Amino acid sequence: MLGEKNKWIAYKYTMPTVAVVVIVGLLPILYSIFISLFEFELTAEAQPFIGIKNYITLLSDGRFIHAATFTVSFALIATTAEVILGFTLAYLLYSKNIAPKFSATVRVLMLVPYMVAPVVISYTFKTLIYDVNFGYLNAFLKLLNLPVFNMFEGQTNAAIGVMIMEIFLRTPFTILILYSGLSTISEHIIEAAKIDGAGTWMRLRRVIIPILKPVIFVSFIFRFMDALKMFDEMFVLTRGGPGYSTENLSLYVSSQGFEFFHMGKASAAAVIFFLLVAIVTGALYITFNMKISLRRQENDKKKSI
Amino acid sequence: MKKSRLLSLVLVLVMVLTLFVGCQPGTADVEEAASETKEEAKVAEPAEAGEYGNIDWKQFEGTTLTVVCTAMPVSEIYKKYIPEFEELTGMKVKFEMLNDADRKSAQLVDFKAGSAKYDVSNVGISNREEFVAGSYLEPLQPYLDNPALTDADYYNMADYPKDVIAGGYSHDGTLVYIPYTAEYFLLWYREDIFDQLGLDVPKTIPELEATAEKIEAARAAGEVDTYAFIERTMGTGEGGWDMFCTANRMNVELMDFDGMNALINTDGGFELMDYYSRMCVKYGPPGSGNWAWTDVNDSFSQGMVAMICGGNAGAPGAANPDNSRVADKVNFAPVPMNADGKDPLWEWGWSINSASENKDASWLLVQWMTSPTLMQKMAPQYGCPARESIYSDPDYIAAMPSQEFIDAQLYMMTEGINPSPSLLHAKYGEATDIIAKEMNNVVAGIKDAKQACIDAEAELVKIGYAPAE
Repeated sequence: MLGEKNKWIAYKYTMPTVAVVVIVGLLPILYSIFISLFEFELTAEAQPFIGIKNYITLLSDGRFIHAATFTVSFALIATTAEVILGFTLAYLLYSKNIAPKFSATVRVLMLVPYMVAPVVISYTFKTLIYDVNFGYLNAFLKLLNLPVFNMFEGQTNAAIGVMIMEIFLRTPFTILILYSGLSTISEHIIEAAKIDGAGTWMRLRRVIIPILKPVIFVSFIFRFMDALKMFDEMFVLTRGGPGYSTENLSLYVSSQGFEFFHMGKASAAAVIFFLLVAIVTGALYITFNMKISLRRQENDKKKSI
Repeated sequence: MKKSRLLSLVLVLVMVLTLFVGCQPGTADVEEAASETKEEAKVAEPAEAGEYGNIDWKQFEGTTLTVVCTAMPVSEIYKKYIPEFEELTGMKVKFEMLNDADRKSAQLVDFKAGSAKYDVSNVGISNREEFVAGSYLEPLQPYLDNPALTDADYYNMADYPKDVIAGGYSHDGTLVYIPYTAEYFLLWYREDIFDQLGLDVPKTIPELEATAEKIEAARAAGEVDTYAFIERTMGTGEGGWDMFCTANRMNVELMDFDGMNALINTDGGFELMDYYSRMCVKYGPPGSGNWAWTDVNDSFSQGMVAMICGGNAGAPGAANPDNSRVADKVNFAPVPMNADGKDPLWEWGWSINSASENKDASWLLVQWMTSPTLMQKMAPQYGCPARESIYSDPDYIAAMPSQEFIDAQLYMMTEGINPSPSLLHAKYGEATDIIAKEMNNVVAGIKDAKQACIDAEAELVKIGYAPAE
């Protein structure tokens, strides 16, 4: 009787959230899939049914393919850099050689860029840091008699500029997660490794990182999914330029839908985008789980021997 | 037991309510006129009915109208005067201002859904054909011709220069909006630098480039510390509009929208792409490879650039010492054009939603907002009224930077503008974006002008245009 009552209480608390998620989240997604099958133009009265023609057009459009490729490669590189840098900083802050209060203060300060709206950070980078005439970066480079960094010169400068800003903005998130993970590792395991003669590098490679792998994976996946969907930073810093070089899928969908009013095409692009995120994230998850189960099988074999 | 149930009900209610907090409209962009605030009542004085023409202004008393418009200085000025309209008519007006992209999206969604949330909205001339294509704008001539709704003698449509009012007519000849601004490019230039270097004000495109070359040579020699010239380089509709306007001044066509022909990869198209990118790369400041109009205007006002082709609407800002370091050194002239070239007109106009349930009442609002009386009151504050008579009003003259500025505007309005350039087409947006992105590539040094024209044509072919023969 008590168990049944608890079950109903759980439903009571969660049903409102589920209802809002369905109304605000699921229904618009289903409607987007629906209109992706039509030539849905906001500036035209008629919207004929065209089936999967929007999808075929997109998958044969070089601009869309470039946007998709750029989106995935940018997200992979940025997330990998954030996780490596985040782990390094988290490990340094976790070190016993650093006073706990200092470590806590540094961790809070590192969160400041993460607390500020991405649009504000993007405008700050665009005007105060990257601007060729007034920015701090180029003032510093001129002081050292080095060539200035012009984001809109050449094919790659803009992407590099956005990448650096993205890493600066998002690494604190991985530091937070990885530091929490490091804090859960038992001191006894580390002491045991020391007694067995393991040096710092060996302890890191053979003890800490293996224990921390699930946490590293979680922070990677969360950051990767966010990086795939990035919009504010690209819009403010580059608007996809120069040319199409930094146009990612978010910008592409936005321009198709809200600048050119091709709602059907934009919806189809959004559906493909969703599937891309799901497939790439799923593949990473499956790969990680396969490695975990293979490792477990090896350990079980060793134990049985 | 009862207490725990009551507590769980309260907690559930709180959870549901907090979930809907995020659904409230943002207040950052959307502003509604608090029509009876004391602050606004102080600014606007009650008007007499005869001041706005002899019709029954109270005939729709009690009606509520909703207006959406682009958040910009002239909209802020309108908002201040709305209480005067409410006092005059007994109507209520909800006045929403959104940034331009959101305004256009909100209008289109409202138009497409037929919900008629907005009775009256502003329309930019470049959006006109997009809205006309969907039959979203109410034809206005019947309202002008109705003596119960319009005092024709007072309203005086002849006060609009023919090329300015022509912008309110769609391609099929239907009047769909009444303009309230008349905007085009002027040459903003540093009079002090021109005097120092003994330069004449350029009148043609080649003269403009020759003048830029002289200023650049002087800069290289250390005689002046400004760069010569810059245009909008952003690879979106911003840069695209500038390119199309420059093409019009050169009497070059980049697109044949009606015939669905891409003309960018022709001699004329290459001439435009090459000239435009060359002017930006050779004479523009470093780091100007992705500039919007705000960056261009600011660079001039901060003394970084000696000449720009800037909008007449923003020109008073360059002469305002509160905003500009060169306020006392700037002057204005008609924008340089080739012999057969003209500058495309840009204007904002007020329109009525064809699905509105308050069309007659909406016409009273549109009529009032474009009336000679109100425009005379507002014009000194925004500088580019659409009615010609305002330009000789003493209050307007006193508020403008110089007589040369007023003369340049009058010349452009009566002789220098093309109200029906081919770029005013429902398909303009996407084509412009493609061409601007290729210009952006040239300015960034990624490709040359010829390759940019070839690649722009290839992209235009993908969206249904035929290549140039």
